[in-house]
Amino acid sequence: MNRLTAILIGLFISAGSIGQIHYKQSSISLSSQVQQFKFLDIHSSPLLYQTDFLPSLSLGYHHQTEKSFFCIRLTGSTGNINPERFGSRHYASAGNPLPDSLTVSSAFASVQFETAYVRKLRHTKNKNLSFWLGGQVKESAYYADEVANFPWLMNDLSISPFFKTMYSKKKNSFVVELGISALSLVSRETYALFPKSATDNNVVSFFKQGTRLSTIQAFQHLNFAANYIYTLSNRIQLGATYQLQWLHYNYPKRVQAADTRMGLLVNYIFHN
Amino acid sequence: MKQTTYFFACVIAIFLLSSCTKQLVGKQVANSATENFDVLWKDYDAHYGTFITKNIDWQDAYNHFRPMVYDGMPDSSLFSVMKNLLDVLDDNHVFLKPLASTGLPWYKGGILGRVQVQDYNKDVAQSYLLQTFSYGDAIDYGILEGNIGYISLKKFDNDFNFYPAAMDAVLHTLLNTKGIIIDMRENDGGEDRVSQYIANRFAAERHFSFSSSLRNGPSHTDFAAPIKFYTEPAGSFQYTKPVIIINNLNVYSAGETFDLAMIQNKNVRLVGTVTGGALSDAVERELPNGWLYRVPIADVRDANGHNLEQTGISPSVYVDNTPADLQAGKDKMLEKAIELLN
Repeated sequence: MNRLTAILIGLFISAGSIGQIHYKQSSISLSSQVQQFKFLDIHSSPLLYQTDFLPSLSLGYHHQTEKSFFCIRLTGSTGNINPERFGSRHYASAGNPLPDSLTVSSAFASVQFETAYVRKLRHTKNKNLSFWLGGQVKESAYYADEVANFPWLMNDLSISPFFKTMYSKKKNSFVVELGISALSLVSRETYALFPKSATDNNVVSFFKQGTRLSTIQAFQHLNFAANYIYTLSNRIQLGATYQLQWLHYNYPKRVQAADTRMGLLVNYIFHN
Repeated sequence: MKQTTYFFACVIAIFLLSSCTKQLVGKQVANSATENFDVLWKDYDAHYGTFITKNIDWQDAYNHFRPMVYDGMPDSSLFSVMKNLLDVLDDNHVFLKPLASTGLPWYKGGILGRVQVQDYNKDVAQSYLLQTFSYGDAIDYGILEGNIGYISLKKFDNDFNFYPAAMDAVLHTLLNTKGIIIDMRENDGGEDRVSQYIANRFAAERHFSFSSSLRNGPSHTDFAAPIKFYTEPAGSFQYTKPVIIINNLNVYSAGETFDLAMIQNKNVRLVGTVTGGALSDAVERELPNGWLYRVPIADVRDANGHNLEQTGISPSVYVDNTPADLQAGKDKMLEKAIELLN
């Protein structure tokens, strides 16, 4: 990561001419964001959990031609998550012969891997505006180690129709992306809340017992992103990004989650 | 003009989405006395595993205690009503832990919440050992007079991968002893997969040892298919010479499933007292007021199909220590185990 950052900084300095997006280009994208994740999973807890504002990093590769756009991206974050109502909680037994105490503060981690391919829909009268449609495959995992003092994990591997629109004028581009899961493999706690097995470890057992194939009727994972991009040179683009993800699932009981991220991005265009 | 409209529509959409993330996840349950009581009762209703075997009328308990709860009542009063509700279950796994800020004690259910077990003293037991070793935080072991091995299995809740190497090291040290005493009196459980694995290190044959059925629906009779555990040789080698297990009331949960697995081995006998009688898996939960509690979720049956909740596992040789014995430096339970191996 440090090496890549150094290369990008070097390219900033050495960037020469200023240009527009050409018809065939590839780029590497690095984005640093602030993330907040909230969920209410009534199967696991009656409490709404939320993270602090966490640092999140994203690394991606984009390839764009006149008629198609392909991207692949890995995003991750770590931090803490606690009930919005209490934050970290302390327990101490008053008056017992053997005094005991306990602090519950949950660690949090999220990882997402996504790839999308879209085709340009049609030429609009406005040459600055374009519409794209295709599909996205996305793997998302959210983990907290102490929800009700017990590990919590929600994982989905989803295939989504994916829509993208781009408005470009001179050196400025504004991009909006939207996808919603159509078919997903969703992994959650079972009804019993414990992945008991005589043979498998808890992680394997969790996925074996808690994974279900779900259509959009049962599970929805909405992905929305809006990016502003400024073309600094024919090699470098800078921008700002906003992302919102919303998840909803009703098995075994309702869970809803919202993941928002805002941050800055830099694209290095390495092939025209 | 259209372009400007497009741009500003997107900006407005972003701000709208940013401001409503709390609404997107829904509204959490209010932190009132009535809501807290109802969440507690409903959660046990939906997940507790032994209503039927214990013949508990949970609805009747609700009807009795619910009228005592009112919004705005002091935490201490709510705690008292909840404690009385949970007493109906009479279950060692059940606890209720209020936040430290309430200044309230923790509640522990079952016989272990009512009785302080005083028939074991670690220092006294260890004074019989000629050599003492430890493996991590889960196992103490050593050699007793007469070339008898001693293992104190303190807990089964470390990661499973801890135990194969641990048992290799312990059993390798005790391999040439004429028998082993396994002291369970500090053991308050962990995972059944661990207890079964350790029992398998003493196995010569394959036998069905116990089953566990987890709740899978809202009715008290809703259970998934039983998960069956078998005692069978495991690990790089097995210790098949005579083994005596010492139990007391403190032994429960996976400590008891360990006993169920071990008694399938013909070389094993149980001495001491009856065990705690709480064999289910249990999960921690929380209330809208942040208090923690624990719900046992399974119906565990021994190899003969009997549920031993509240009953416990009886020894084949009953022996107990009095506080006076321990004060005099005598551990009669351990001495009986030594006598049986000699």
